[in-house]
Amino acid sequence: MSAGGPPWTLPPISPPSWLTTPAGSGASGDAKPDSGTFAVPAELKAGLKDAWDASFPHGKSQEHGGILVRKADGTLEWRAGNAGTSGTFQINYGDLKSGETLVASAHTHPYDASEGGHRDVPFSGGDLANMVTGAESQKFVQSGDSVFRAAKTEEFEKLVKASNPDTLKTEMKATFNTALGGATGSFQDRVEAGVKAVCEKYHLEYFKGTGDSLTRVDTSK
Amino acid sequence: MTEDRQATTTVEAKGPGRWLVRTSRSAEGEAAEGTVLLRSDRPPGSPPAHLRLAGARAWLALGQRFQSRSRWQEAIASARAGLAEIGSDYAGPDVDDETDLKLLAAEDRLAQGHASDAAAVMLRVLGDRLSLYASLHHQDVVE
Repeated sequence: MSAGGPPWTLPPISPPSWLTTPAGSGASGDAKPDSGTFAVPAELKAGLKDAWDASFPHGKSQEHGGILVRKADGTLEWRAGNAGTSGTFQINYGDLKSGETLVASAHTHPYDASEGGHRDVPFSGGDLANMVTGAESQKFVQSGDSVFRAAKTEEFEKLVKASNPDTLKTEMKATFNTALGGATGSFQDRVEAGVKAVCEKYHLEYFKGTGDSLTRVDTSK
Repeated sequence: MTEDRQATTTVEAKGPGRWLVRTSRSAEGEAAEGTVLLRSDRPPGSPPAHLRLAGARAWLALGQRFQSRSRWQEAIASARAGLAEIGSDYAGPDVDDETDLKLLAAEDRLAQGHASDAAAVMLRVLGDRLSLYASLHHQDVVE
């Protein structure tokens, strides 16, 4: 190495958005790097509560959800989408306006009595596979009192750039189904086995919890 | 369930650029019809495009008929046949699809002895997937 400094230069460093969020707006919706916890923004928490409260019309399951956007003034806003079906939700990407940033999408996973009445059911294989083509960097699911978060990483983004999206989606779903099929335990345990397998193999972060704070899950176990 | 594989399919012109594909599916001595109205300048080929949607709709109708008669196992078999016919390519990229997990829950209910619940959930999933398929192909599928 020559005297006077290294032969390479570092790109300018921008502070992460969680550092630049206007004071008073609560949690930013962005994860702190290398953090083991995630603070759920109040806007998202309220939006998901409304979505969950609407998820059992006449006792039958119906998914609800929406998108979390950062407006031009830096504040967060929840935008509810149209009601889905028992097992699907169409993300309302079209509700993002010019000058705004898509922070996250979120939806519910309700199970009525005929479906076993399950709660605390995390992501499906399809939910995670859609992160290959979805514009949002993170996705949330509320099921009962539990909130789940999956977030893209740099490794995931690199993988997406190097892959055929349809092929990658198919592989992710297959990974999910293989892990789920080989798992034992409760319905939720089996589904989570699928989530962990996909997040571990494809470098997605996985958090879960209740209330205001989610905790990172070690997907290698 | 005994499946009758002698299904017939017809295509009928329904005005300018509209074609009605009609097919039937049968099992256990019962038959049901499924249709799909297509938008196309030319007659559909053979087999016609989106025949799978018409066929799966026939399975849904058949399953619902069995369900209405409390013939849960036949309803479940019809739902499974419809799910197999429509396949896995039925939803657009904006749809977060959890229906695989709903089917898993239905299989659990069946294993626990709740066949009526399993039939209801499977048929509901089939109906949802058919709606998604029609929406995904809305440029070709009128209804």
